[in-house]
Amino acid sequence: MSAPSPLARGRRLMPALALVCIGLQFPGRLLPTTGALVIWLAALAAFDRDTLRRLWMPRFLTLTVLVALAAGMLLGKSDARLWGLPFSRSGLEAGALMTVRGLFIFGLTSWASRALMRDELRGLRRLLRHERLATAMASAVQLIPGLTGQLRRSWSEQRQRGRLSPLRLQSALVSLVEAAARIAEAQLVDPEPAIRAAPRARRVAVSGPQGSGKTTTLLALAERLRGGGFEVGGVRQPVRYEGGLRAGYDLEALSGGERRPLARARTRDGGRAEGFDFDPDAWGWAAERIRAARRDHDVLVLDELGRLEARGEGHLPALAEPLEAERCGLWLLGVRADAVDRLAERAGPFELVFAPSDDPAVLDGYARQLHEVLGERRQAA
Amino acid sequence: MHPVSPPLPLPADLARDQQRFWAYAAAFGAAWGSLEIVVGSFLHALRLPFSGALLAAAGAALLVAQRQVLPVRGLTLATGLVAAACKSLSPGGVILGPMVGISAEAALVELALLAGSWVPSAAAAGALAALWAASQKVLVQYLLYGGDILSLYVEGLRRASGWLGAEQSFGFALVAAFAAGLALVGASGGLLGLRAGRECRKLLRPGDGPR
Repeated sequence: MSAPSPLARGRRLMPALALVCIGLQFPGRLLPTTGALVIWLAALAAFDRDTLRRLWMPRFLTLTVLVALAAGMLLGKSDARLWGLPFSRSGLEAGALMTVRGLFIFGLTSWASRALMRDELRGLRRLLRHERLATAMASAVQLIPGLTGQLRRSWSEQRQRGRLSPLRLQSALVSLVEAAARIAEAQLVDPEPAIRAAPRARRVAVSGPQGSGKTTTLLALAERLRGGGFEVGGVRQPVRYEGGLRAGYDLEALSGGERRPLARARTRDGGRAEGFDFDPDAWGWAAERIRAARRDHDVLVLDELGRLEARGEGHLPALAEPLEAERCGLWLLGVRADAVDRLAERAGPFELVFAPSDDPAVLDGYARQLHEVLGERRQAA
Repeated sequence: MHPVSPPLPLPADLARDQQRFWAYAAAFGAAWGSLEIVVGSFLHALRLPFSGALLAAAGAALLVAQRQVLPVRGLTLATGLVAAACKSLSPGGVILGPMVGISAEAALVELALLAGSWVPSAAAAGALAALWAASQKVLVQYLLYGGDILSLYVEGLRRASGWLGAEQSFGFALVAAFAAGLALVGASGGLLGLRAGRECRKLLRPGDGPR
């Protein structure tokens, strides 16, 4: 990769230089503000001549000079004469400051608006970028010509009927609003008929508070289902301990056994955890394995779902994503007790809700019920 | 490690609501752009002063009407952001001014409509939009020239009142009357939008309208 040219390097310094110049003119004194303007114009001359050329706007420059002269005549006590007219020295100084500051701010905003379209403010653009806004904007740009034509026709029709009255204006507006609303409704995406018609996987929850044995129950049930000839996939969330303390969570794939960090505890000096920092890439990793389990296995085991999923985040999007072909007939989910109702609203109602248990007889009973659910699902498919 | 997972695509049932939200923002953002083009050309041909305030009233009418058809909080602001983002496609020149103006108008209308879609809030929405359009120039000058520009205006009004032989407060009274007139024009736009939106709601069949 070749080294950046001096011009490119200079352009990258412009944001920092802009901040320096803003700082210089901030106190509102004539000399530093003039210095800021000179530095900025010099920088534009060196690194951005296009923007410098665009600063030549005679109307704006004339207005600025008139503002300065008006300040000289109106502000402060008249103690001088210029071209036979009474002027104030302090007013002229204030006018000069206004002129210099106005030119500087104008030069700054001209550069900023062009830089937003280039790479210098990449970070800010990334910050402001919003996928849905970008999509909506692209859609709007395509719609403008058609809607403009429609409004022109409607406007002409109303004017041909006579003088424009509030009722006629209202009719033209109704026509535009109706057209826009119908376009918006027509843009809504309808899911593929195949996905809608596909039988949904049955949802079974193992629900309990933290540390009640949800994971142990889930793994025991997964073993019993494997023993019954079903293929089981999914992701579990084992706790990672360090020095006897809970240090975070990992993610582990049930088929294959791959493991990676999910979250690490943020600790105070006393070693007490005060929250977790999640690795955003971990969600994508888990989502791939959830999708694979839904496509290629009979049973998806997912541990655990909690308040994050109840808010629509975490693992939930991977569960809600429509798949063209889903082999999975059963979702066996470890669910925190305080999130089970909200999750039922988001992910669909639970067929069964099991309490955690390590009693083999209870687990066998659970497994029998799951076999029935899977048997019914196979018949439906 | 970063704090908290970023939001990922929403579940299917919620995604439809979000789809509708952004579809309306896109369609009405485009409609606002069309309104600016058609009405703007008409007003320009008439060479009316303060046509910006009239255009703002028309924009407010559209936004208020949109709120009748899909009463969702935040939709007006999103529509303004879409319309402002479309302005960024204007070739060359300074674009920040119109983008800020459109976004600010949308924000003011959204603020007014938080009180509900009824006569007072529709009137307030239109009035705020029209007053913003008229005062934006002054605000831009304040940013450019600093606080002294306001002192200049105040002193100019005093001197003008003196030259006309009127009391010093006459100029301010004139400005207040002018602002009231603009607010009235804007409020009329808001009310027009309210009526148009309600009529439109009846026209759209239940199957076409929002759930």
